[in-house]
Amino acid sequence: MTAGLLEVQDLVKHYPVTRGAIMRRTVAVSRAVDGVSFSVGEGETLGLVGESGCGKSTVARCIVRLIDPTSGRILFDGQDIASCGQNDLRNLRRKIQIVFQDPYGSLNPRMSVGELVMEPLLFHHTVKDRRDGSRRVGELLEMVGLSAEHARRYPHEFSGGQRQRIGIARALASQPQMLVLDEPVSALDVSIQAQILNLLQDLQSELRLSYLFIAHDLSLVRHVCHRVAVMYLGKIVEITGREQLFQAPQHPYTQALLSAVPVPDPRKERLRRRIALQGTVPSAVDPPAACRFHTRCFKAQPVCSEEAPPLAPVAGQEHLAACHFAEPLEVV
Amino acid sequence: MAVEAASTFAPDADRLGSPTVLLPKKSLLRQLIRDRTALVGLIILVVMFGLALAAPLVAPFDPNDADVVNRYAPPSAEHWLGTDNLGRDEFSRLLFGARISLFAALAVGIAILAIGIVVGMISGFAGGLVDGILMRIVDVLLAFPSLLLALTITGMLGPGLFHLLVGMAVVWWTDYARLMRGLVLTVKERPFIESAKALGLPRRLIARRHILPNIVSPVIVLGTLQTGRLLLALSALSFLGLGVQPPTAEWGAMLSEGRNYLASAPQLMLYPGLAITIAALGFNLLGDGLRDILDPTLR
Amino acid sequence: MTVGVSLLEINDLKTVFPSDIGPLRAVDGASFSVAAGERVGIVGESGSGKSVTALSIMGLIRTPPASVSGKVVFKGVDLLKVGSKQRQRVRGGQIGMIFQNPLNCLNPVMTIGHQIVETILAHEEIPKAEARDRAISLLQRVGIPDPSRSVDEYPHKFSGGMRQRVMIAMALSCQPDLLIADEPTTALDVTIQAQIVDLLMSICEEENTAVVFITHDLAILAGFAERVLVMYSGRIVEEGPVDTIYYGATHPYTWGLMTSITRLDESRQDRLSTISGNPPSAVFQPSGCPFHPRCRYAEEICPREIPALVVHKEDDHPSACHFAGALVPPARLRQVQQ
Repeated sequence: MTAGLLEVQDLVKHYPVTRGAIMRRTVAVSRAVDGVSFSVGEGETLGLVGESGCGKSTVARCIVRLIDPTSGRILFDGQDIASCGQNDLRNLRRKIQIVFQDPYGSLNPRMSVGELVMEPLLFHHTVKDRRDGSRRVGELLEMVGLSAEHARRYPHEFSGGQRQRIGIARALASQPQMLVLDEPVSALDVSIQAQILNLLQDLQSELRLSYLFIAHDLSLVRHVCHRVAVMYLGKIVEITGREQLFQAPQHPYTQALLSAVPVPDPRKERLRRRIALQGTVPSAVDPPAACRFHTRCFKAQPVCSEEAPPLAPVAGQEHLAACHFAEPLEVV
Repeated sequence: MAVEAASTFAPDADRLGSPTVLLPKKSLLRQLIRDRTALVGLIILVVMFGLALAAPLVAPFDPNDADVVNRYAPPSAEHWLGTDNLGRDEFSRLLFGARISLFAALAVGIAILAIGIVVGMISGFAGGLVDGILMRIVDVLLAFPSLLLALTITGMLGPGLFHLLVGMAVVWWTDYARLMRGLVLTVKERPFIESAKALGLPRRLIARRHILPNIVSPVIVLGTLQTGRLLLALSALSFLGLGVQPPTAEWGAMLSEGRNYLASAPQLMLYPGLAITIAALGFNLLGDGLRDILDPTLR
Repeated sequence: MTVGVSLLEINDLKTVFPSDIGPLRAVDGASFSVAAGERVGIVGESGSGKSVTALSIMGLIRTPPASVSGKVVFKGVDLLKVGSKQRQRVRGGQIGMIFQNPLNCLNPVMTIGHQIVETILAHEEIPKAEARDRAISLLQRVGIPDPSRSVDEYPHKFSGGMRQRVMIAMALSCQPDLLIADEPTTALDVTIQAQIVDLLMSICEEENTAVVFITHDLAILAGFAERVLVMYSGRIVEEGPVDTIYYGATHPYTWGLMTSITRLDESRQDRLSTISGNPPSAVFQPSGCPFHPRCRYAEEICPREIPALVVHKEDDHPSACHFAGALVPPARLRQVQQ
């Protein structure tokens, strides 16, 4: 593995839980992200998966500094996003962009598509003037599979898939090196998901983009990502290359997640056994001691509630899992 | 970029294949004309403001010209609405009165709109201590009966139209500030704001290009309805003797003067009262219509 | 598959909404039936009319302005003909429905127990204490932990999956014969989705409740449905037993849906095949076969004639394509079909 374009080191984001309206005081801390490290190489796609509430979206928002991390470093091309000043941040934001989940909410309904895509162009001075800008808007729209004429229309005139394309065009306007994709297709129909995934792949090979792909659907992740990190309650529990993760998942949580993904094949489905997880995800305010997964784990032993397993190599240097009893299991 | 009234369907413009339904973008004026409520309100206001502006041309008499011989005259070809207790032409007085009543209401309306928007936006954006202080001021102002407070302030400044307007402006901006603050807070949480932040846009730009355009509609609606209320309040305060001083014609003042002759000449109260009611109705109808037109969920 | 007297018979259901730009034909002549205790899946993209079909069956479409025509025969009674009172009795009493977003469907200022009790009392005259006991046992049935305490909690105390369970408990409150689930798991995580699907499965098996499961994801139906209906542009375009649809589909739209899914059970594809274009809009309906603008097999006849949902070959299943049975499915699908 080469030195990553993006290096996240021990990222922590704690939210204070407050009480009282006038005399506000902090009564507890929600450990949304609690020591996460990973790297994304140039032209690489890293998947970040987990259930809702595991902190994956918080990681995404820290990386583009929509929220300020509590501690840790986010090195992009050697510069620390987590601690840099406004001027450097503006520069970094040109290079690292985000595409959001909600294609309906993330476009200002009062602005035409042209204005929406033009805005980052003008602001980051990627174009000389408005004329040059409109030409570039047309190019960007064509790049994402729309046409230049669409620039005059308004977001509500487009379907969900087309809006997501507009969101991508907007993110590409500043010619970034990396896109953070926060569940970019989960709000779309299955048939439209495929179109957007193909588009993202084409863009990656054309523009040599790096992606951080955040999702809860493992079958999507397998399709798009080169490497995958699985998160549970603010921590990464397993991280490895795509093939290793899907063929020989080591962490019980990864195995449970995989076994829950339905397969569109009735005969196989009838034979499959699901690994049922007990209960729901515990609160990040008071996460279980030691291994955070032990309350729901089918392999849990006394040691799991006494000692936190480190994220350590389990099968080769590149396959890390945080479990005392890591062991591959065929689940699909 | 010109916004065209796009055709309903654009089957071929879409490279992705299947056609997307296009909702034609109509101009605000055209929509206003289609909405009956708004149209009636608009017509009332246009006619009234038009007459007020054109008062010197339209009015048959000088509003202050007393014809003592011809007092309390009934409506006639010469005096359309008759004359008042000093023999002044009632119709001319109504027209000139409109100039003061309508434009004063509008002036106060605009003034409080400006104050309210600024305070509301600062409060919504800054949050924290600034927000706390501004909103407590609003709370204090709202805790007093507004008419009484305006009365007190005007009383302290001394009677006179300008002082009355100042008094009203000081009291009535609170509604806007509250509304604006609430709207800013709501819009601030919408995903496209986060998206704009991620693009690295500065806060000023986000406020101007992304937040403001999404909150003007409710403010316009409130503004229209509020101006109707201001007109009534202005008349009420003038009625109480603050504001415009005799002999200047103003609807509230006319109403007040007419009160003395209620038994002998009730029409002297009826005419200005009707004028106030109709104008207020015009503002309210327009406001209601605008509410329907500008409601994004109905588009 | 239990082939018996149908519990629900839909015949030529048409639901049309008026709009500024012409009538919106959300459901355009759908016909199908559901047998007692059967698990039926309806699959389609957004705009295919699958949700409106469910709402039309439930009588939750306001008419006017909309118009609902055709026949919705439930246990021998045409629900579109009976008065609103009788309909009310059926709705919630004999047909239960659960929606995609449970939070919107639960009243935030009432405890869940109160809401379930209210539903029960609306349909049955039993003492309140008994209704409350039943609410607790329903919560137990759907797997809510500590039901005798949870019954007095407010909806916001529950996670998304738990709220969906509460919705199911509410839908089950009067022992319905039919449960309509409209995208019940779309807003949920995969692990929770699996739990909800298992729950619906066990309800169907233990209480012999028929379940109509509406979704846009064919993968979910594979392990759940006994029969699958594929909907497109307000019509049923293909229907058959689950194995037939997954291994022997003949409609190009069904193929498109199947091949555009990313699947874990196969070697990874470098590129996904897609259905070109966008889901249909109910206003602008193409002439002839509604799928023809997106269909790679479209021929000259397709824009001219609407294909009927008929059986093309003996022992085959109904498919609304002019060329059903004559086309060769895409390579990727053939692998699965073998």
